[in-house]
Amino acid sequence: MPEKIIVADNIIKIFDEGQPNEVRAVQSVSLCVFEGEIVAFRGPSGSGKTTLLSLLGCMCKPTSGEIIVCGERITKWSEHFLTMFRRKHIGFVFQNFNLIEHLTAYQNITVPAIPLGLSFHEMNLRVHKWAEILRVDHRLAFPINLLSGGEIQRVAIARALVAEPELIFADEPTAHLDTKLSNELIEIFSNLKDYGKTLLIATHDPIVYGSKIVSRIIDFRDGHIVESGA
Amino acid sequence: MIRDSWIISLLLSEFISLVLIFSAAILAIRIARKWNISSSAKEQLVLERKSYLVSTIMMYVFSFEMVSMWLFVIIVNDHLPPIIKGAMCGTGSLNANQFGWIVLDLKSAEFVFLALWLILHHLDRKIPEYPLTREKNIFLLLLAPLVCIAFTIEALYFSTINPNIITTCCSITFDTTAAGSSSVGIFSAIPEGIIVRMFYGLSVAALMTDGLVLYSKRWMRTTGYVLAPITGVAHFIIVFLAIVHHYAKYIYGMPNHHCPFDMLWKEYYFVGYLIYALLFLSVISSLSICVTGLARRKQVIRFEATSLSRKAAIWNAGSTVALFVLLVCVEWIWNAAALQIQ
Repeated sequence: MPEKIIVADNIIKIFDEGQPNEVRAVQSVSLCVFEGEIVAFRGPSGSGKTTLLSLLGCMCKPTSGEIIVCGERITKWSEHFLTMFRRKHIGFVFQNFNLIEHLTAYQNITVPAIPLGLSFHEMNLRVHKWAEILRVDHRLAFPINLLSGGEIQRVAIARALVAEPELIFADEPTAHLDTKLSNELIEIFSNLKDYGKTLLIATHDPIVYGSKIVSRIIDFRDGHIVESGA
Repeated sequence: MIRDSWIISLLLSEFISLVLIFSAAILAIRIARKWNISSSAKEQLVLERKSYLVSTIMMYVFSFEMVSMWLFVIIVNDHLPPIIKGAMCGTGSLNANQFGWIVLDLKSAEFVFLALWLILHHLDRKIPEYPLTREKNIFLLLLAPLVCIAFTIEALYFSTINPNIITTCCSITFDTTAAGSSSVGIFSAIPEGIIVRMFYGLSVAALMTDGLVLYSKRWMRTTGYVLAPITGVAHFIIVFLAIVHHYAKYIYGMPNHHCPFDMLWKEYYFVGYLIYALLFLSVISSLSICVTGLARRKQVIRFEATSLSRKAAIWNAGSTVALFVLLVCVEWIWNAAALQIQ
């Protein structure tokens, strides 16, 4: 029986609380994610998917409610500890990749491993391991602006994985990819599942949530979970 | 006197500390009032970042204070004696006016309290919820006036020194046959033998207190937390008196030489620095036991506070034993050498 890796209990996130521009991004959401699952958060733009991903990914704190990630109650943690926790346990794949353009693919992948204090040898091993798995090892010396869209996406995933996190969060990972590249990405996600990683994907792309690799789809509307099922 | 380049350097470094601690205190007021780690508001995030800034500032203040403490000792012990009539060492310089010894006392207190603040901060940073942030910022608000008073009195001390007025030096101040004018003057009447016995007794008491903190449970350990600052401060005072009344003459090899400053010179292999470093380590670690003991009241940090108090007790025991061995060895070596000569 897989263990619960994320538990969210009645979490609420309100931006600019009490102000005229108050936004209730996430409202009374409770869910749990098991180890090795691939969970897709489906919903239209502005439904609160990204906010929920940020909350579960320790990028911000909920206004109320409790979140447990990898067995740690992170709700009352300070920013500093959340950063250290993220570094170790969570990898992010962003919608716009957020790679550093003037650096090479190798350097970009290395960035999250630097604060971990790994030796150069260990860091090098990890970069090459993930670059090989994601088939970008022949492009490691190239600057990001010379890579194709698919290669950039794979470099972004390798960067998310270099710290060997248990959790991968992907926010609209196929937003800038064509159908062929999107299918390639799904194949990569499928491989990550084999490596024991747990994936949470915010998406409104039918190629992603319609694929067989997704264990569960959670439908999201106006900050609420409207449906959750396999 | 205040236009002397050494004194200007010292006062400048003190002034930088003062500006830094007051800027930290301004931030600390807001943090102490509005700190709420459960809040997801932007303001809390800003406060967390300001709290990091405050701790960085305090580390700099401590570093500046450590350097300025050393600079102060160098100035009063090496630089001022040739300028002030009658002064031969730090004692003469400090006796030059009514502020000298007060400055030394205040600077020592400032150094100890800053170290305690950093220990509290170290403990606070061990838990993701930062449970001691409010307390450490209130402590900072109490520290800022102390730094300000110390700076003012130090400036008054240097500005009111008249090099033409003849000052008394250690041979008169620490003359154990009559009450002197220094901060140890009131203890001058206590016989040397009693002070040495008190030194032995308090060293044993400090070790027993450390034993209570390290090996006992429940109320016995709590007793250790309460006793640690009492024995620590008493030990600090008695060690200083024991050095002046008894051990100084063995360090200098002269029966009537009781100065606590000359041992900082090269002629005596700078042994004074080692003695005073151990003395400060001892008092800081004993007060740390009390601070961490108070922090144990918070359930969330109980384990870390207990662990840190045990470490403080080990440091205290180590420094107390080292100090004891060092002073007693100096006496034994001297006595053995004297016997051989006979």
